[in-house]
Amino acid sequence: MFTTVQDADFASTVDSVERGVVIFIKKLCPHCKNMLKMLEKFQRFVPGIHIYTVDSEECPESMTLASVERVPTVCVIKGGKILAKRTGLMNPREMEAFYESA
Amino acid sequence: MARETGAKNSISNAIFIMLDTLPFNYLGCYGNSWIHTPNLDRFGRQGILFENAYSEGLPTIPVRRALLTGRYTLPFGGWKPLSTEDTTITDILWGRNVQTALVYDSPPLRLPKYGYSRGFDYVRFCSGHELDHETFHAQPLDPSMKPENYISPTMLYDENGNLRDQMSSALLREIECYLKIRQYWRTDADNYVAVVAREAENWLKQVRDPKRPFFLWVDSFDPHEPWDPPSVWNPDLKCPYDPDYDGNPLLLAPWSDVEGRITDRECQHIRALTAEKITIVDKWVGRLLDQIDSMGLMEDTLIIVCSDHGQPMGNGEHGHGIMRKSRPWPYEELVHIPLMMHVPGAKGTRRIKSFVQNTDIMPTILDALGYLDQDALQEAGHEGIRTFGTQDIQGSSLLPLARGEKDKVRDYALAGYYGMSWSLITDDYTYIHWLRDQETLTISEMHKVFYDDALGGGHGGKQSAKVEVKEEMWTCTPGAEVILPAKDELYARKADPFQLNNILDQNPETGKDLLQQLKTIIGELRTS
Repeated sequence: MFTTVQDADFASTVDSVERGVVIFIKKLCPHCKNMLKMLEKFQRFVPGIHIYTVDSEECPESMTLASVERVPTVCVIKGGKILAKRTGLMNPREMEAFYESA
Repeated sequence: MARETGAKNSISNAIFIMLDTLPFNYLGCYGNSWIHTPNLDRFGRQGILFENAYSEGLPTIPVRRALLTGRYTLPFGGWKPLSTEDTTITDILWGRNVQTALVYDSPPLRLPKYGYSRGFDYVRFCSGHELDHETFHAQPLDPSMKPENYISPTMLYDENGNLRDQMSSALLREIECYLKIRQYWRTDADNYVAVVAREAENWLKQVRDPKRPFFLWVDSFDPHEPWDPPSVWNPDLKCPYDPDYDGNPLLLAPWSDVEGRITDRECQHIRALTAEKITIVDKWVGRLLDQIDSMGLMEDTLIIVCSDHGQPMGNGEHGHGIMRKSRPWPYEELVHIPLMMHVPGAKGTRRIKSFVQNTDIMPTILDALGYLDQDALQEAGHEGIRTFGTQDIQGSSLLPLARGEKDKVRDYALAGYYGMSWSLITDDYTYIHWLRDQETLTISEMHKVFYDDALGGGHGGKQSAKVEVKEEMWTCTPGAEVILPAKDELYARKADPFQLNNILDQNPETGKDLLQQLKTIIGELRTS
C-alpha cells in the first residue's frame, strides 16, 4: 500500500516519517511503473515500512524541495530527513542494500 | 522434500548438451537441405523442437550465466565472472540428492576467476580448444606444418607482403598452437567433440552412482572455430561440402569485417568447413545419445540439446559483412538458436512456435528434477546455509509447453549485447536499438573492453565492467516525449527474416511502439 503525497503536504510528510521511502514518478513513464512493482516486493522484505509516491508533473514544488530533476527517483527517509537519493532502476536486492546503507 | 511433490513427474535425471556456435539453420530439422546431420535431425523429429528459440545476452559467457541462473543478463552485465549475487542451478541443488557433473572443453567457462564450474560435484575439463591453445605452446611442431599454410595469405599480408596488423601475428601464433595439438590427430575421433562425448559417456557409465538422480551438463565447444574438421589437417581429404576449393586450408580467419580482407569465396569455404565440423558434431553427439539410450536412461531422463548462438560468416544473411563475433550485432544468424528436448512422459512429437529463451532452460531442468516451486526454492540450503537469494528466476519452465498444457510462455524474445545493443523480436517485427554508436566502436575496443581482453586470459571482469549502461537511460523528465533514435533498425520478420532491409524510416510509429515495449520489458527485468 502506497500513499500519494501532494505539494501541499510533502514537507510535513517527510518530517513525520521515521523510516520510509518516497518515489518521484510520472504517469506515462514505464520505468516508474516498473519501480512501483519493485517497491511492492521491497515492502514485503521490510515489513512496516511506509512508501510514498509523488507525481513529478503535478508536484513541481516537491521536486524542487527534494532537488529531484528526473524520474523515477527514490529517496530514503530516516528520522524525518531525506538521507539518500537514487535515480534510475533497482531490483529488490539493490533497493534493500540502498535503504540499509542510508 | 520437494522432490516427492512432483507427482506427475516421471523424470529423475537431466542431461543438458550445449553445442557451441551451432547455427540453427545449419541443421536439417530446422530446414537445412545441404548439411548431413541425421542424428540431431532424428532427435528433433522424435522429441520437442522449439522453432523460435533465442539467446538473450550474447555471446558465450552471458549465455552461460543465463543458463546457470535462469535470469536475463542483458539488463545487468556482459562478459564477466559469476558473482555471489548469482544463484546458479548448482547452488540450488547443493545439499540435494542430485549428483551434478560438468564435462566441458569450453575455455571461456574456465577463464581465471570466472568460476563458471562452481558447485558441480564432478568437473572434467578437456584442454586445448580456442582460448586454451597457449597451454600447448611449448610443444614442438612438425616442421612440415607451417601456420601460414593454414590461412589465406590475403588475410595476413598486405600488397607489399607485410603483416597487415597485430591481428595477423596473433592469428599465426594461434594457428601454430592449434597445429601443435592437431599434428597428432589421425581420425575424427580425435576432434574435441569426440573427446567430450567420450568423457560424458565415461561419467554416466563409470563415475556416477546409478542409484541416485543426476544432472549432467555436457558443454562441447565444437563446432566453434578453429575450423578443424579432418579435411583441414589431413592433406588426403577434401571438404565434402566444398571439394573444388583449391586455396589453403582455413583453420582460422580474422576476427574482422569481411570487406578488403576475406573474399566471398573464402567465406563460402569457411561455411563449408563449419558444415563439415557440424556433421562430425552430429556423429559424436548421436553416438552419445545412443549410449544414453542403451543405458536405459531415456525413460526417466530429460535431455536438452541446444546452442548458445550462431555465427556471422560473411555478407548478407551469412553475417551482415563480418567474420566471427567481432561486432555486437544481434542479427538472426547469431541470436536464433536450435533447441530440442526429449521429455519422458510427453506424448508424441511437437514443433513449438512459442518464443523461448536460454533463460528458460534452468527452470525447465529444476522443474524436471522437482525443485522449481517456491517452497523448494526457499528451502534450498542445508544446516543454516541459504543458497537461494531474493532475486527471482526470470525464465519459465518449458515442460508445460512440451506436455501440451500451454501454447506459449511469452510473446517476444530479447537479444543483444550488454551495453551495446538490444533487440526485440516479435511475430511480425525485429526492432534493434543501439546503445553504443557502431560507427565509432572499433573491433579492437570491442575485444579489449566487451570481451574483457579474453585472449589475454580475461581480467576478472574488470575490463568488461567499463561497458556500462548509464542510469540516465532508465529515466525521463516531466513532459518529455519518446524520440526515435535515427540509427535504430526495424525489420519485417516474416518477409525479411535475416534482417537485410531496414524499414524504420517508412514505419516510425511502429518503431516508437516497439522501442517503448523494449525499454519497458528490459526495465521490468532490471527491477525484478
